[in-house]
Amino acid sequence: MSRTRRWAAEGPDYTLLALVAALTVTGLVFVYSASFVIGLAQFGDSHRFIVRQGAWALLGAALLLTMLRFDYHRLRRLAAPLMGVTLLLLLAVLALGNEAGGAQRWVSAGPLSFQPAEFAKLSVIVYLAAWLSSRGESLRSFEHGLAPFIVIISAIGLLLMLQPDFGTTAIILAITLTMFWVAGATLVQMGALLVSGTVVVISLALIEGYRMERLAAFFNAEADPLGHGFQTLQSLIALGNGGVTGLGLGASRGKFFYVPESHTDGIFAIIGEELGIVATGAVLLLFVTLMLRGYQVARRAPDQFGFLLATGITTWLTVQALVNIGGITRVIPLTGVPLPFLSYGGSALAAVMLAAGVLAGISRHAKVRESRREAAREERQGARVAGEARR
Amino acid sequence: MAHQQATRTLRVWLPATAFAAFALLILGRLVQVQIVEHDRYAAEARSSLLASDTVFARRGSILDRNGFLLAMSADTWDLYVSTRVWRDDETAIEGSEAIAAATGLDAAELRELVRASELVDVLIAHDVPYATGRALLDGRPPGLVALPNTERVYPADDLAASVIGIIGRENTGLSGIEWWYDEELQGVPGRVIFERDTSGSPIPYGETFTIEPVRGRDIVLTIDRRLQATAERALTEAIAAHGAEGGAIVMLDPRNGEVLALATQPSIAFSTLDLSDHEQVRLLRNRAVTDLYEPGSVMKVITTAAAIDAGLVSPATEYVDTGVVSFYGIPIRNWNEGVHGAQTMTGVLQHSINTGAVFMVEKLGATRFQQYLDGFGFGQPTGIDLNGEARGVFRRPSDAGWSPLDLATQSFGQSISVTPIQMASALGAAVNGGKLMQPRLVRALVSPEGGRTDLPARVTGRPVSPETSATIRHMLGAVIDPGWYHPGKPGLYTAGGKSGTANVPLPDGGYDDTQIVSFAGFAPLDEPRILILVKLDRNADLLTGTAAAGPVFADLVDAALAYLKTPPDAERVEAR
Repeated sequence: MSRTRRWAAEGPDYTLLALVAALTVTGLVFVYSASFVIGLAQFGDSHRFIVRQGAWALLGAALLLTMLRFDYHRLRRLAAPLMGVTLLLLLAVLALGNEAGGAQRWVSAGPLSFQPAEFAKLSVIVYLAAWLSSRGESLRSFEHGLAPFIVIISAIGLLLMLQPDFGTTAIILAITLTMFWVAGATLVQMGALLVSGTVVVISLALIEGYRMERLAAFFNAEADPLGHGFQTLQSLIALGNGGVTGLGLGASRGKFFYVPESHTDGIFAIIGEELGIVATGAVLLLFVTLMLRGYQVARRAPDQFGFLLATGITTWLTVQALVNIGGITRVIPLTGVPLPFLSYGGSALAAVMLAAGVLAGISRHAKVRESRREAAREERQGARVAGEARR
Repeated sequence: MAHQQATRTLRVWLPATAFAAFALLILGRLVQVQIVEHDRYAAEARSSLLASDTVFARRGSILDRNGFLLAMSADTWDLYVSTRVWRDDETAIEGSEAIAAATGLDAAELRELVRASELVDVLIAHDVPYATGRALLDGRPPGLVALPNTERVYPADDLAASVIGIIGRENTGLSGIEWWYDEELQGVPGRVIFERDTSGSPIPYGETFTIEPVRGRDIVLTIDRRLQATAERALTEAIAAHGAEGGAIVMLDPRNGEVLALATQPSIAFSTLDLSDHEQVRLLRNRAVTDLYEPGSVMKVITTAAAIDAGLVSPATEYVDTGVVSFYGIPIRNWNEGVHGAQTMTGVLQHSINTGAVFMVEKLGATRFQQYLDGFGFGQPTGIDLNGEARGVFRRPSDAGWSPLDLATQSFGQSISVTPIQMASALGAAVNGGKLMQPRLVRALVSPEGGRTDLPARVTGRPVSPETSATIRHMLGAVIDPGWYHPGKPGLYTAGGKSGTANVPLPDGGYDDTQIVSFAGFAPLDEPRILILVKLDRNADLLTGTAAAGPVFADLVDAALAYLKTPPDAERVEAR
């Protein structure tokens, strides 16, 4: 075992950083393209959104570089305080947040306003990674594993649902379940969680009328093309109108108030309309590659905390991207979540770049194998061990 | 550690595979939406994106026979305000003040109008003069949207209004020449097809297709604006002088049917047009072609022409008037109960003797008389190019309820209804050598490129021979110049004519004691260049056609022929 141990506390995973950079730059280009009409119409300034997004991207880059150099192990000690701050912020949003679109999701502080939900995801991941890695084998028991896990995620979920923020809740649920699973949960525990999670999600959808309407819009958008089905249909029309290579950069028609939220949640539709499936396929590929690199970083993390942290962050970015794109392409119902790195929204961009920085930071500590042969041996051994574990 | 990593690989494999599978599903969906169903979505995008506006062609002008403008279209602006822009109070105040300063509208009222509207763009001013709108647009007041339009302007003011007619908001003709020649005047409207946003505004740099409008053609009337003005003034003065309720003057060239002037009262006037006034809407027809009246003794000209053409009488044929004639047992009397003794046919016309007309129609018989009435165009529209022409009515032997009495009364112009244009047209045929010319108001169409299409004169019948026509001319000359004073005798020109005075028929078949008087004639006597019919409705002074309408005729002949540079030919002048 000790033969293979070697800490590579040097360069981070540059591929990962390149992916993040590519997504962020693509995001800036399309935020500008998708927002100048709305900026002009609502604020008389076509540059309003891109200037803000650019500033936030710079802040995000700074955060990313900071976290890259930051030893992620120190996050472990920050986990509990971070979680405490997050809970307070979520409560603050409920108490004095700005209402936008029927939901309170924003806190204003001077000229800045930001959505704690995005940072909440990161705090939850850090906290869960710390908590799960401290459990060890006891995770497999009910009283030390499943029960406290359910208490933790229920508390966070409740606070988010009070805002109400269904999309974030669902994504956090997916992140925590994945983390619980990779941490070593038993199949029985996972089964129980999946069943109860499904029940909760469905009942949440049932108690809020607008969610049912969105669900109805998903199944039968054509029945109400100018109402609840509008966003779904217009996003599809924009995508379909783009075809293979699109109408050309900047040439979207959908952004002229046809596609709602064209610069935020709907930006994928504008990308598809302007540059066609060439670009949408590329963006999808970028996210899948990001996921593979992220899980690779997780696998190679030197310790359980790093492994869980990297898994959580990767799962977050991946699930959120898939939920957004799935909604726009009408594979799943629309939920108002932004597309990581691409959608307009300063706090969301800063949050995902911060998370990417943490992920890249973990990659600097990756454990790399010395040779191919050893790697092969390792694989075989791993397979055998796994086989035994299954028995 | 290797063991640990292998475990991790196994654990991570599940979510990674699940998410990758989901990504693959999305990719499949992207292929479906963006490639397979691209055409459908593109079509759907186009259908909601594309909007079109009609671009009206500049409407053609209407000119008098010598090319003077009577109606033309001038560029104007229709001003709209975008309600979305004015939702901001400061913007609304800035915009409304600018618009108010330029147009004289009230700024506060404008803001209220826009605030109260649920439309995207609110029309705030129609047909703003071009220069005013241009200056306003240069100042770029927020929210102002200006669409070019045209407005009909009338350089000759109200002249010939009831001939020209009016147009509606959509640049379509509603009456008169504007209606009849609407297609020619309008041209073919063009369209601008553009991509719009959800509020309907064009998308900047969006694709635009323009179908250019085809400009309308100009209409050259047969009307002469000087003669029209003269006729209108003469009619107004005559109506005032005789306390009439209305009237008409038709002036046409009997050689080709061209109407030189067509005055009617009451009539619309462009300057005071108000279509919310029901009475004015009723005037959107030219009463010289739509209103029927009984012509009275003017019809004796037709009866005489028929009898002469049939070879039954000559101007010198004599008969004895006893003041009453028994026609199938029914006594028929002269107007004023007059008794004229032995008379020639010329005398019948000179003294307007009803029994003389009955004498002639008795010789003709019902069938032949009816054939002549048809030949002169009675009972059918002349085909003049104005809306709402009436056909006129007379009872025929084949009609139910016909009696020989109808034949007798028709011979002196009762029991038969005509329009002024129809009567003038028939008289024209009687004096121009026997050709029934279709009366018409348009001489030529001129395309925007300058190509001119002259409309030909149309002969619609030949009711009598040239010889008969020559005979009638001289008989009518004798009516005006009987050797004693006649009010219808022009001072400068030889002329012929005949008066008519008829009671106004009531719906129940009787007559009231009001009357319609007229005088119709032509000049010069041998080669008629002009035919004028003057008609006055319900003149309060109860003067006869000769006394009330005759002098108007005489003055108009002198004025018109002098204007037309016809050398005076009256004996008095020649003698000088």
